[in-house]
Amino acid sequence: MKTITSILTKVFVVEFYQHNASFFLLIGGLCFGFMSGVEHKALAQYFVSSPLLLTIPISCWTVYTWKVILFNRNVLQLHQNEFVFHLSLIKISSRALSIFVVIAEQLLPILMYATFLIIMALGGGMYSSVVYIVISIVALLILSTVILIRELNNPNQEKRVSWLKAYFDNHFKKTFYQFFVEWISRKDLTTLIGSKSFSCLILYAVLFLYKTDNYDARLLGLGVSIAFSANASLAFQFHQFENIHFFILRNLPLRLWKRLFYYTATFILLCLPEFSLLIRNFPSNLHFSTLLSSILFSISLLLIYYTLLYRHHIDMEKHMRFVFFIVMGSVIAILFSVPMGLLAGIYLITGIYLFRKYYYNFEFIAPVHSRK
Amino acid sequence: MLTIKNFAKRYNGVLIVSLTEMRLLPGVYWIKGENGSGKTSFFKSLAGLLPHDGEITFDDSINLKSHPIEYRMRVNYGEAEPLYPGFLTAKDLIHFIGKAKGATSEQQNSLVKHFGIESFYTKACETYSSGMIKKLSLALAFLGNPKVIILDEPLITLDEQTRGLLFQLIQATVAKNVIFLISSHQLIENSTLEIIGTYKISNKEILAV
Repeated sequence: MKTITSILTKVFVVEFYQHNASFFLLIGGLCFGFMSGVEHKALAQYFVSSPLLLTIPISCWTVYTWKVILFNRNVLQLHQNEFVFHLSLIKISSRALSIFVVIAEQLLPILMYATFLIIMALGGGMYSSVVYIVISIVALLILSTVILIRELNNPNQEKRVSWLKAYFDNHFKKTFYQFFVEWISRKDLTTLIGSKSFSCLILYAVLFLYKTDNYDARLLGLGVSIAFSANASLAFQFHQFENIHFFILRNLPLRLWKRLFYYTATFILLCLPEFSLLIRNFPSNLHFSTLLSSILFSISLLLIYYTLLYRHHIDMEKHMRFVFFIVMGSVIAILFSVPMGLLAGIYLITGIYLFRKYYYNFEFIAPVHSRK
Repeated sequence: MLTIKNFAKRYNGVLIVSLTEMRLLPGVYWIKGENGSGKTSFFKSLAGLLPHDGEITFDDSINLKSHPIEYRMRVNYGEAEPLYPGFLTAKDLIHFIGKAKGATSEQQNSLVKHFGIESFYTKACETYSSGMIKKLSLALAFLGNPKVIILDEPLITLDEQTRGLLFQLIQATVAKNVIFLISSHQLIENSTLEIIGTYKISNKEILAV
């Protein structure tokens, strides 16, 4: 059993944490960068004070577990992992135990936080909260274990297409800017929802929470910089999509302007929630031109994040470093009252320059497991 | 005619495949080489998918590096192991690539019919077998008015009937002054195809046989 668990840990757990390194870095930064130990304790006591409030962490744990389930499903679809299906030949009790251990390792962050909440609840005498936490954690562990066992028992399941998709495929033509939007919605919905939720939350905060009679355009600029930079991971995924799943695109006789137009249209489509939030709730005391420049600024940010990826082949971590520097640079410039329109112009010109210079010379180094 | 001069493909500075000079006239060329010899890298470079050293020029001076759009309009590529986004249908891909390559609707429909794609034309690629994916990639490689069609291992996963149809189409296209570069581990000498030149990759160099 030890050998099986060790192999499964390499296939599922190590890959999971490597794949989500940036996600954990972001969560770690948000949790430990802004809040002190006392604030963490206060928040935990607040969560365990009532069953209703406990639904907040439990919902987060459920989303995380769903992310784990989807990740495991993708791992099983990779050609090099087909050997894992031989596991169904092993006795069910040993198999289930190994898988349970693997799932527990993947759910470790939520298990640790749940333990922290249990300690807080016990300290405050909130025994019902302890019961709710234990039940939800056990349920999530069992659910994800059962799902993985089931998927291991049913290899190479027939791909089925919903009647709605079949109807649309039959009656409509897709355009290029729909390709990536549909791909990300199907392959990495958590990244999409995570990016959208974060960016909309930031925009909501700068548009509503600090609404004063004399709204400062710089606040909007800061919000736009941070909110749209949250979509940088989508720009990274778009680059991966184009270079792994749609490699033939490079062979097509499309002018660079047309390619840039396609990318811009894709980003606009992806950022429709943010744009509608921005347009509908734009502060009344600001001039209409500020709205236009903030939209242009947001598009220019995404374009520069995308075109930067053509300079050299870089991984997500390095890309996020570039994103961080651009966000910090934009924030400082905005604080010094540099107009968003000017920043947009600089980013657009730089982005177009990078794209023209590097597009045809760029060489993507595909990961071994990327083709499937 | 297509001329390739001083071609070299390197990965991280390591030479993979090179070629001093090659002049290609309309007709079928067979490129041979062991697994990992660099055939696919050579083909992808020729198709403008990978950067490389050297010059690739048509006789009217259209060059891969200085005329990237015009060059790509003339060179089509069919991958050995094609991969398309699973949610796209053959219809989506044929329309999109056909439009970019300047293929008429009549040509698109005729290729769909020729390769027997009608039965899965509006179905998502994720439901295809490897043979169906191959048929689609071959149809895509013929779209537009290419002067060069590169087919990397076109015979793998194809059934006998489709092989016949492919050879038939290649011959009809050669008659329109098109250059074919084909790599195949299967013997194609015995097929109906008239091969006008054979090259072999040996010791990282492409040499005429």
